[in-house]
Amino acid sequence: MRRNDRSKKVTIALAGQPNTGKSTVFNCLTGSNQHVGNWPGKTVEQKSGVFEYHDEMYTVVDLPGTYSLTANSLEEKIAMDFIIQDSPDVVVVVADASQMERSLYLLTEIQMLSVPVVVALNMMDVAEQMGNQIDIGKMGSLLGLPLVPLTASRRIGLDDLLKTIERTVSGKPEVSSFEQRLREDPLYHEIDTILGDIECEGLSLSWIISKTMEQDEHILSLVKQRISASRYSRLINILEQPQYGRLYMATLRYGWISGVLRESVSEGSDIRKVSRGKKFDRYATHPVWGKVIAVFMMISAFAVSMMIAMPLMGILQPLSMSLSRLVRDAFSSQVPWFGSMLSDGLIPGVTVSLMMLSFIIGVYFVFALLEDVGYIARLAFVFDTAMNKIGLHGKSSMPLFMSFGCNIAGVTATRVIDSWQQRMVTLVVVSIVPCLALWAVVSFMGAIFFSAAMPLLILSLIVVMVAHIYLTSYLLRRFIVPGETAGLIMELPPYHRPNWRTIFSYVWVQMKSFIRRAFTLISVLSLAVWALSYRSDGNMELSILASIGKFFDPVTSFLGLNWRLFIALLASIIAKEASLSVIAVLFGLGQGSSITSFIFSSTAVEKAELAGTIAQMVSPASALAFIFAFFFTIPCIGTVATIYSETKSLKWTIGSSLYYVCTSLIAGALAYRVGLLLF
Amino acid sequence: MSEQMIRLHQMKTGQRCIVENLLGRTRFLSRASSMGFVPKTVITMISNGKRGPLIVRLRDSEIAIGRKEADKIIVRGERP
Repeated sequence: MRRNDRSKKVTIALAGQPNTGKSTVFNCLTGSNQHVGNWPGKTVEQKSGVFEYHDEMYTVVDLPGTYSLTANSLEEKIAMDFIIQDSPDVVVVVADASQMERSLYLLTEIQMLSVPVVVALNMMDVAEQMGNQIDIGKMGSLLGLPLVPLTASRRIGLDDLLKTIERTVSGKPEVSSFEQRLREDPLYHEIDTILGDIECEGLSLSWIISKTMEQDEHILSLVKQRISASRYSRLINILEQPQYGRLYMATLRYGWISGVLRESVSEGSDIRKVSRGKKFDRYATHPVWGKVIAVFMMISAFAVSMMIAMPLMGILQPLSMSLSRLVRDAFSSQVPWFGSMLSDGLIPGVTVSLMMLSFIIGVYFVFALLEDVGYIARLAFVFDTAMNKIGLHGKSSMPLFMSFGCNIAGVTATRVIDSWQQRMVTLVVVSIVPCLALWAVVSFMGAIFFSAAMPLLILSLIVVMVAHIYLTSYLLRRFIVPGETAGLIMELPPYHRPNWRTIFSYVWVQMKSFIRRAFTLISVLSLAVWALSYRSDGNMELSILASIGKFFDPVTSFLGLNWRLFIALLASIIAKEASLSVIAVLFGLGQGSSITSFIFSSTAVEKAELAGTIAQMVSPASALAFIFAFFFTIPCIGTVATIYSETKSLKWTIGSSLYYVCTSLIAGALAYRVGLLLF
Repeated sequence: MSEQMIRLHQMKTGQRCIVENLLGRTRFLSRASSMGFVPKTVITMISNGKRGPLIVRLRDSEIAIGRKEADKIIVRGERP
């Protein structure tokens, strides 16, 4: 998709550390002309957008927010590869004026890549509040780069930024003052002599030398292939001299930054530096209160999402029910199957998607808000120790907790995790967490067979759940997304007032992307299930789905599930609640021509009567097998669609679904064997 | 004032120290240095409870760091 954009004239890459207001700058530049996709071949989200300035078209590519540029993480590699391989016409580096020492670090790396650079010094208003006086003119000349002061949240300085970008694009990259400073360094000079005019994947010489000074493993291996063994050992000898060491380069970078700041910034008094939210932060990071606040935040997040969704659901459900009836009646005499396809397949599918959408808008909104004000990092902080025990990051706590409400919210919540590896692991494991709808079915079945032993049943389900999460997380990290983590070193960004423009633009863009992917998938799946379960005479026992169930009967009865329970298990893919309705029909107590229609009628089941029938026809061991298989089965259609919309990858969507089909059957089989011993 | 070499997690809340050296593998070092931990950096301990990660202040930012990671950071600080 980026290739098409390249036909437009100018490409801007937007780089910056996390929490520097980079996405606000991106929104200011592009407005609503944004496109959300993936980086080619990756499941990392890429945002790009276009705008016009002085009759020229500009494409802005938002690079992942990273603290530095090494090959350490996927995000860093993506950012680096884009700058090197796609050679944008200009790289805008966003830095935080209130935390310049650290946020200019990335600049010292990007400068080495011989691309034109513009520095956007964002959050000038915060710096002013702190009483810092920044001499922009002086700082710009000390950096040796075009420097633009910016308050993106209030759109101050944008025009200046555009002018500067325009000017920089037509000019040539100059040797920055940091590069000049570096060339005077003895170690740089020695390495320069050893390497000579080395050629390395289009990397600039100053980048190669600076990364060699850092003893970056990737660069060292590239260098090793390109110079003689004797020269390489000379290089290593020099690097290992005690006065240098692996932190020498980083120290030079900070030394240069401090030098620039010392001459161009006069800091305000310490008292005025006390930023907002300090008092709240003492509680938010407290080992006990912090957790209480975090849980409260997550419950509110879920409640707000529901509050946004509820009115819409209230309108949608009766509306689509009457529409369904209307369509069915209209076609009933002429082409009943077509009427059924629309009323039992397509309309319920679209309704589910719309209801999901209204819910997910709320979820997007709450995350954007919590992220924007800077709270998410605190939540990650207080749960880090607990999450580490199951191999996850502190930020995984949010998706996991949200999943107890609804797995769709859980999957969406994984977007707060900034490490790709951790995000993918969490995204898959959240589906193990039982949602509210699932408990309804479990408690119904459980109450019939294990009334007194219910607490024991629930306890055993939870124990298996924790073990399942642990094992799945382990397997994923071991085989699918390997990579060592650098442990916990995380910025706790200062609190900011929410920027509504950024938040709403985020919700809007994500919503569009969700509609495109999830709607298609849900409609296709609903139609497929309809086709399998449709019978013109309405007798589901003779449908294709039932034949499939009967065909697998030898296998499933090994798991303790007769074909009726097996079909009910399959039906939970549409919605967990649908299982009950299917059970009712298959055990001869309800009416309906297809599974999808149960989404509307699931409340109409005569539960007391059903309970009696099931108790007679199903053994306790089978019931136990069903409960376990059901508990750990494939997430519902909505969650699957959300996984697709979040990863934008069919491979991950199908892979994780198949994985849960398998683990569900294994859990069912084990429970059945245990059940046979017990009962 | 008497000073001694200790690990970052041995600092008490409110104390200040100066980074002497960092241990560990390249991956950790590059992550830590990009977050501001290099020799001669002044660090103030914001919060150090009995368990769980620490919060420190350096270079105008607050950073949360795990105990295991803090053990790899050698600092020169006031004697506790």
